[in-house]
Amino acid sequence: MALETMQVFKHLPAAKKAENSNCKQCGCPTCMAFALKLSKGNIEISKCPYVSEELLGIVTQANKIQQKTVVFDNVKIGGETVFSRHEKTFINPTGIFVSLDSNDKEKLDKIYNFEIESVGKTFKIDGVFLTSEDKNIENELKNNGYAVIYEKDLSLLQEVKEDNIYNMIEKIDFIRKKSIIERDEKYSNPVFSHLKEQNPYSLCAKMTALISRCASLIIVDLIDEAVLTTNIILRQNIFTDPEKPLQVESKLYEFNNPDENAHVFLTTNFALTYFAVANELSTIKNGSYLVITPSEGMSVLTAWSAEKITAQIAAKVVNGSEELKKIKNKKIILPGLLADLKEELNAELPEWEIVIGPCEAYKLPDFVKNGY
Amino acid sequence: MANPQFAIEVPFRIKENYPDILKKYWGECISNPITLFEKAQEKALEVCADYVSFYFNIDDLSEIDECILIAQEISKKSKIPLIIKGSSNKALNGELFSKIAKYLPKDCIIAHGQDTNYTQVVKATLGHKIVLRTPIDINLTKELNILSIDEGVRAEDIIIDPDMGCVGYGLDYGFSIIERIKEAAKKGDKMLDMPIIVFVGEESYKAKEAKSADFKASWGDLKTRSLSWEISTTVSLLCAGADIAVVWNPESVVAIKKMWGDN
Repeated sequence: MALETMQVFKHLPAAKKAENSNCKQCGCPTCMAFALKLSKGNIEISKCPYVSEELLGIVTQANKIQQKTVVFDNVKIGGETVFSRHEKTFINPTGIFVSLDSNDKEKLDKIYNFEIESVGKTFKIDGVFLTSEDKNIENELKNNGYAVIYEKDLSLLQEVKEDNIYNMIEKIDFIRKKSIIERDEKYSNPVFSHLKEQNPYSLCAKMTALISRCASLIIVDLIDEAVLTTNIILRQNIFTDPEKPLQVESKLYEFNNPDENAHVFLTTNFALTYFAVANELSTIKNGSYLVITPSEGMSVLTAWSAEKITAQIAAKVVNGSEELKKIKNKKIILPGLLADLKEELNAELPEWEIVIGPCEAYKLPDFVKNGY
Repeated sequence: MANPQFAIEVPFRIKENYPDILKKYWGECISNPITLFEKAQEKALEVCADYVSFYFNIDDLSEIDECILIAQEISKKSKIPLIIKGSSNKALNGELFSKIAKYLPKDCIIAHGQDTNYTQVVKATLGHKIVLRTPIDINLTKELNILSIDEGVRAEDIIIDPDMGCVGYGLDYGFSIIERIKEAAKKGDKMLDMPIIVFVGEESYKAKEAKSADFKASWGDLKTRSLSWEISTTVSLLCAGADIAVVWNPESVVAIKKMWGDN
């Protein structure tokens, strides 16, 4: 609901010091109390006998659904409530469907075989757009966890026709402004596009543009694993809740086949921190282990000040690892920003030498090259 | 969002983590920074990119003398607008730009000034367009712009670099901050009303996905995935409102321009 208490209140009797101010007929002690409840959606406007036509109009408008939610089997699309993700968050990730002629066994196999894992989640193609009625294939697909739609199902949606990126963005932004901001019912159906593009790079660019502008559903004709993977991960980024930082699992990560001579690094489980370090470690030829602590997705400095990274927490993960017991030259490289942790960690991990590493991940390869 | 601009970027030093796929792409000319620059410029003209970006990825003060010679050569051979990017070492950049700026063409864009070196960088590069980089924080972006203008930079010479991560590596942070900057500019905030530049090439090729074949079959082949990674990162940030995309693979420019639209 896009209503503010004061915005409501000024239309009520008490605001105008009129007769019937604070009459309590709505069950609330004052008009202000009613205004507060109404703005939160906790009371019906019909409870107040003295509400103005204007206020009724405002409340009706504010209650209008912006974008409808449509569910195809297990796939929920649409239902968005903000124009830009930073205003709050996007809700239902763009559905990615593949078109299929039921006779195309090869393409069906490709659909079944496509599966990737990213940040601890498994992703497959969300659904299939069957180009002709086929109950057998439809049931088989559904039993395997895929949504199935036909041409007739598209009438629940509104289309952004395949075009160049600039035109498609202009169209989808217009639709979303109309639905999300103006609450114009004519534009409230979720938005889809059917991309028939056969060039993988062209398809990649178009898919990315649509996902970035919050399309509800994309149907593609071409199955290109690299393009699908890239866009599934992009989708994850766009549809991440900005208020809930992405975390990675707290555990031991391996890079380049580490053995008993591997480097050992440690840092927190904020996804960006992990990725920054992981990127660098993947370039270090000698194998590495990365210890990730359970720090509620906080970055190094934030975790340090919130005491979500302590010597005890770090030691617990290190001691819990069988692989690390095999390390010959027991040294752990700490992020430079956790230098203060060194003494305490030394005490918790007497078998290990604690080394202070660089403050920034990009300096890790040189740090390692120069010997520690 | 209309008419995005593109730069092709090549590095001074070919380091260990420069992707094999790009080494193969550039071929023999990577053995010499000048020949690499010329090849990059040739490619930029071929794909209709707007700039060539040369990345002085040095690690030490002792390398600056070499940079001076290179800067002089590049300036002589420059046919299209130039971007000169400094190292990832803030302290070095102040020194670097103070030594090479005088050899660079007047319309050269110099990247970048940051929180701890902007006074030195601004002093060295006054008169040039300057990229100001801040760590994905809109308040810091605005602050650095104001401070630099206090030091003498004209507002119209500032290009904002809000820093970014590629697909899978924090793209959403860069994406949203770009949208917020553009929103603020539209509402009249003059201190955020500058073009936005994103160094997508350098960021995209940090990702393992763009460089390594060590992935399961569903991740596709390295060649397609590598180029897709840069294309997707670039397109997404352009959709957020970025104005200049600095790529490492010229084929990204080809693919994106083909799809972007004529307007």
